[in-house]
Amino acid sequence: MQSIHAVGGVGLEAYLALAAVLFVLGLLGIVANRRSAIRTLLSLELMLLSVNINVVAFSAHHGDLVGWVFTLVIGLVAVAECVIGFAILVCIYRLHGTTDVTDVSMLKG
Amino acid sequence: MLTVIAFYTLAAVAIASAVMFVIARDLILAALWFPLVFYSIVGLNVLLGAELLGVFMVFFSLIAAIGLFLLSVFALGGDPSLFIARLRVYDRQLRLMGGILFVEVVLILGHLFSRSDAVPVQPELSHGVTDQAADMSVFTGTQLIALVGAVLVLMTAVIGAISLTSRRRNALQEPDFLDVLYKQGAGGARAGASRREPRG
Repeated sequence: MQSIHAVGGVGLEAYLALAAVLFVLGLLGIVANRRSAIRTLLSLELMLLSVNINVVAFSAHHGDLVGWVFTLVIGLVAVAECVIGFAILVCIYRLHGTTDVTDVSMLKG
Repeated sequence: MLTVIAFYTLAAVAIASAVMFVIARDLILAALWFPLVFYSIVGLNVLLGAELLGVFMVFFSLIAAIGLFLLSVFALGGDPSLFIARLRVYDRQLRLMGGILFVEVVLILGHLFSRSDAVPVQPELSHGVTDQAADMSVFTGTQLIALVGAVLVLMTAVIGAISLTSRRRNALQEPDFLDVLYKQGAGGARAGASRREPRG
């Protein structure tokens, strides 16, 4: 097996393990709190951040810059997603007086 | 050595804050724990040598925080003191978070100041690519196209969000007056017909 070089004084596997734990926590945040749309959005952000750790760690490990740019792009798209998500939430709040997504059933067949 | 300590501290804070974010019953408290996860990950990026990325992330998060603050203040009637008074409920937690953030900043600054006279932090990046060259190539290379595309997406999203939130209530909430009259008339006619039917 190929040896893993230290990244910033710490092994690459430590960064990957941390990213995996954060990803699972983000997933738990979505599954455990399905009612709150705000919490779901923030959990999605947490999952994206954990992916960013992976990308930056691999980028540093391989000495490749594409990972950093990719992380910037992911970050910008995540911000855009959050902006749109919160705007939709504001609209839902105005219509229904709540951000509980289970109450929003207009599109149900 | 300091880098290793900083990494484990930041990782522990990130995981603990994420756990608090998931298990907190209070939504505002959960949202307050989230920035701690975010800034821990920014610190990890700095440890990995991506200082420029860390600066960008802090910049975007500050803009987002200011936007959310203004949104909350306007939602509470435009009075900032109301918002601050509501946040005072979480005074103890905010102080704890501030203390943790301070420790993180000290660790990261210690890492940044200690690495200049120590062994290179990124031995892999020394294959012809320096930090300065990396920082510059983001703005001059072909990666610029991807960045510009992402910025365009963000701008479109912001414009869409502003138009969504500034729109008045739609027809579902405020039906057309003539439509209401027509339905009432049709309902009334039907009611009248049903009243008349037994007679006939």
